[in-house]
Amino acid sequence: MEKLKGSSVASGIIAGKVTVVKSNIYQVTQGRIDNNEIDEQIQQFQDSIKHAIKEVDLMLSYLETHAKNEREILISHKEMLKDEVFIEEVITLIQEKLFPADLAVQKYIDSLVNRLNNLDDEFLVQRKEDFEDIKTRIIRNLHQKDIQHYDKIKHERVVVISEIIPSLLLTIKNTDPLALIAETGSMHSHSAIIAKSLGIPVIFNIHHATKTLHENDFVIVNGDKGEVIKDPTPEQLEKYKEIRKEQQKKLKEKISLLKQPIITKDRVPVELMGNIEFPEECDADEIQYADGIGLFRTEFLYFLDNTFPSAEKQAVVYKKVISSIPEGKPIYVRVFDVGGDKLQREFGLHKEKNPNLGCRGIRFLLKYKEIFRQQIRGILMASSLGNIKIILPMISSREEIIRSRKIIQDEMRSLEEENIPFNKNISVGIMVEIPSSALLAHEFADVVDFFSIGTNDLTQYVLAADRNNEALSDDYTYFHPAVRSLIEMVIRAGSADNIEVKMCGEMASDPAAVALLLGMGLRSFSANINKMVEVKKIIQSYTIPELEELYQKHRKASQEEMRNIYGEFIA
Amino acid sequence: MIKKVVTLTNKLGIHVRPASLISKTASKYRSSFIIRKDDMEINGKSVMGIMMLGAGQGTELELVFDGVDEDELMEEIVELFKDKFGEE
Repeated sequence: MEKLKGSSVASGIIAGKVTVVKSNIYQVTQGRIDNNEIDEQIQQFQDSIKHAIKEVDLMLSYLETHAKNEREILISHKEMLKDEVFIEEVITLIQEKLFPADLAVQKYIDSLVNRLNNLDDEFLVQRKEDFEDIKTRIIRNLHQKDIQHYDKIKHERVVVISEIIPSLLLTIKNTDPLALIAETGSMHSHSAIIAKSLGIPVIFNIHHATKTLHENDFVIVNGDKGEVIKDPTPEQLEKYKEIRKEQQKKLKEKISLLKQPIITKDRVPVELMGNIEFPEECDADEIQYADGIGLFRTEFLYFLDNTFPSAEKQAVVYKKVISSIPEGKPIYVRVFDVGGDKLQREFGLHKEKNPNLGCRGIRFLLKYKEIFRQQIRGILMASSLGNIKIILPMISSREEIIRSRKIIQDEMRSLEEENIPFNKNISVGIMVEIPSSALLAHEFADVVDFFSIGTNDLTQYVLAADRNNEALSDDYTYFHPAVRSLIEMVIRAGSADNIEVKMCGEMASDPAAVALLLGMGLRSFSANINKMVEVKKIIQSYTIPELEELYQKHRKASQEEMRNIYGEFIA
Repeated sequence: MIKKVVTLTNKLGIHVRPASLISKTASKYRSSFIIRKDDMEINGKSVMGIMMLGAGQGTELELVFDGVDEDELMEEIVELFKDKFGEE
């Protein structure tokens, strides 16, 4: 028996046989090249650098914004890949020593690492890893053709691999894996998100897993604990069977809960949708049984290539989401909410002292209209295939809505001229996240099809409290009377003018807050996937009259009181 | 050719960000730029090279500039060190 520890990416427990995806792709070519192969090898080397940079960009794009350390590491890797001295030196090795490109890369980087070894500083360990990472990344790209090697992965096994890249995951997916174990990988990466969508236990960061575990080893993979037990004892196996049974039961319960209609105890229908950032997230059971996707963030499209993709490229992504969820369910696409802070260099914008109050969201899109047009066009091109809707972010005035609508009209006209089908009656709504638009909601009624309350920004703007500022963590709360009051205004405006009011953002994922909002009159929520089951339980547990009464009774409560009242109420 | 000795005063020493700042700045000039630490010598236009130095706070480095625009290059590089690369 042997226990291996890593970090849990996806939970679940399973026992089975191991298959190790051994890749000989890091083994460099030996020998020397002929003179007439020099140019080809140099070209391949330069291409591999380009690809490696693209890969790093891709990984950067899929990192959640708060993963600051990982972001910095990747940015530094990109700088290293762009090192001209390194590129020249490798080319010289190819030309003068007649090394094959992969060998030249290895020789050069190893020579740097060897010199690092002479230094006995602790923080150099990280640096050494950086060099190793760059080396394998380039060599892997040089050996791209060897990738079909992965076709030989055995079916229905616990797959053990050194590093996971998104494209490889798709290959693994087709082998009906029992579980997935990787030696490295970031918890905040795209790979992690796709890995989660496989619905099997996934563990990253089990060091030397491909060496410690062998083909046909029998293991228990505990995704909850991030633990692998090799050659388990009979007792451990017995315990595993019990846990497994329990888990199967829980999973069944979850699915049966998700299948139930989304209604309150007194059978009032409530809309419950999910928030997604990547199309792959649609595979989650929570999304499949939900009322739709209440918020599809699209910023990742920009970070894919550090450029705004064309309408055609975007349409492919929107169509993928449409085809991934049950027919007819709505998809609320929020157009790019990016700002000058991220795009300064590309757009020659001035450095903003306060990007949150700067040129972002609709302000950015109305300034760089071509970006906006391409996205609208992409959404429209997908709109004939499903129930897709447009959300405009960071709206603060009526004029912004009218100007945006005009652009949407223009794009419709040009699609019409080109005979490209689209939904002429596509819904266009706004994010209510700037206090001014909550205050003016009533006056927007004739120019919007729906309101979607974004509580994260609404809270931070009305309370002038940055939600990432730890010193203000007590001050930043959507239970604050001012936030509640703005939400009420929007709900009232919506019911007076017969316009749907929805909420995405953290508040809609907080069970206690959902109880409060139901009492306030809100009937549509879009929650984070991992919170949807909890939120649904809340919706089913109470009647509207009892929630209304509770809310009326405590309307004047302070933020702390409110949080406690509802926290205790749902406990 | 100009030689200049500098001491690293920022807290984190030369990590990736300063390394890329230095190499980017140096690459704008035609003159060569070498950084020496103890018995090591690296090309100051290479991020990888600079990172390899593993220079922490308090380290003394010898900077060697050589070429037609060595004065301007020296000024700009020394300024970066003085400014602690914009860090603490």
